[in-house]
Amino acid sequence: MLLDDLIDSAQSDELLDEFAKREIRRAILAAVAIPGYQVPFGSREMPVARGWGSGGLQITLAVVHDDDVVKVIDQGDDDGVNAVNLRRLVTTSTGADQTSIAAEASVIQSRHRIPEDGLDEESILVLQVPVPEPLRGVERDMRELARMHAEADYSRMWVSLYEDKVRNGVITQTTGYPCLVNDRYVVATTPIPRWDIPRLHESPFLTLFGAGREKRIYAIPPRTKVEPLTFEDVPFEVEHADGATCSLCKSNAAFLVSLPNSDVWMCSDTDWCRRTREASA
Amino acid sequence: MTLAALSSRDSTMVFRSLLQAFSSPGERVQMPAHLCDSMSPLALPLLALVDIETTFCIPDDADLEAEVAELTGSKVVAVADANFVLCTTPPPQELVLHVGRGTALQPQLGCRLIVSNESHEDNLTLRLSGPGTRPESQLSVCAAASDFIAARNLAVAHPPSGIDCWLVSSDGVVVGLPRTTHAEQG
Repeated sequence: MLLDDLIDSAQSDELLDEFAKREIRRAILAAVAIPGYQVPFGSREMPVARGWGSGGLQITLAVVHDDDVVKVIDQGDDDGVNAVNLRRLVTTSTGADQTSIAAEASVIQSRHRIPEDGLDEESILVLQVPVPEPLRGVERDMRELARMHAEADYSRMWVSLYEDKVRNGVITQTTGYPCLVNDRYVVATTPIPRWDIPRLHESPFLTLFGAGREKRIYAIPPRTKVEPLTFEDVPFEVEHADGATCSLCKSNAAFLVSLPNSDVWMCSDTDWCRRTREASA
Repeated sequence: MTLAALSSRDSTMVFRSLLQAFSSPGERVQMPAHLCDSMSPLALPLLALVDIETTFCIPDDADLEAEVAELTGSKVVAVADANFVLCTTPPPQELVLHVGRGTALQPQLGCRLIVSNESHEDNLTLRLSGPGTRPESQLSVCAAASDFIAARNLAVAHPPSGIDCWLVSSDGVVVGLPRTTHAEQG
């Protein structure tokens, strides 16, 4: 890649130049080769604010080509403002097609959720990550954090979980529940809910995590062991509300969210909910 | 065959092949056929990934090394300092043990080794396990690569530091062997 090529690419509609893509690709490959390790990368300025999916967007732009079909969701919703804008950025700059159906998508960029169905070996899931460091709550010093990961010294994380259990009777962490990947690195699964954690374990698809603000990329390859941190006598539990069903599709088999100040529940994955309703109509 | 700089789309397609190979170690992934027909498939990973921010080395082919350097702007350095090392034949044990492995603090600095792997009747079969591998996953390598595999296993014996390999055949099939994959003779 020479400077002349960079000048050529500056004339195109693409949001990332070739240098940026190559650097991000090298970081992605390192992340896949070392599951769970946070690979530093030179996060670029994007047309979205950092913290609004700039890391996920950079990964998607580095991965996608014009034969791909892209799905972008935010809080499980394809039509959220952030999702619509990110999808438009990706499709206009890469020429990729778009879809709302997970099974049709080859690359799925998401914040807060893994789609309820449709991900297979051909799928690449890109998660936007606001806080990639799972140990941030127990240690602030970056050098000490690096040492703890290097030595797999997660004792303070275990103490933190134990204290949480003693104080509250349960481990209260909901989104971003810490998991051990391939028996080596603890990762933050932020921002997905506990409901989605078991689906990362031995999943058929590749998951890429991008944190643009913190300049980190990490990955969970397909068919990789992912264990939520918990104690032998404190089983890991996912979110559940007795008797709750979706007010639209009447299902209780998907992750449900409640409307504010009400007992009305709805599927978080809006496209899954729509297809469930169409199938039962 | 003469090399040429890859277009943005071709770079992406080659990268996706390499990503698929690392995601599913042992799986045979075909790199874009139109590129493999017109230039050496062994050089495609370098053409797609290296640039002026990286270093590389092709210890057994100075002409190819010069051509890649000219096309990519990447700097040629000694084997021990290279981010990427390409070997047109299975490398000797000394070379594999000499490339950079990164450190526990910075394992991403481990070298990416691209190695030629041709099919022969006397192939060795390796059993693979680890992240991304399928049950009963196997890898067939030429007998001449047995020293390379033994050295590679030594180089990845102290995770998270280690080296990551792509085995590339002349028909453009690439097989990934990241450091977390265990390879044993079956």
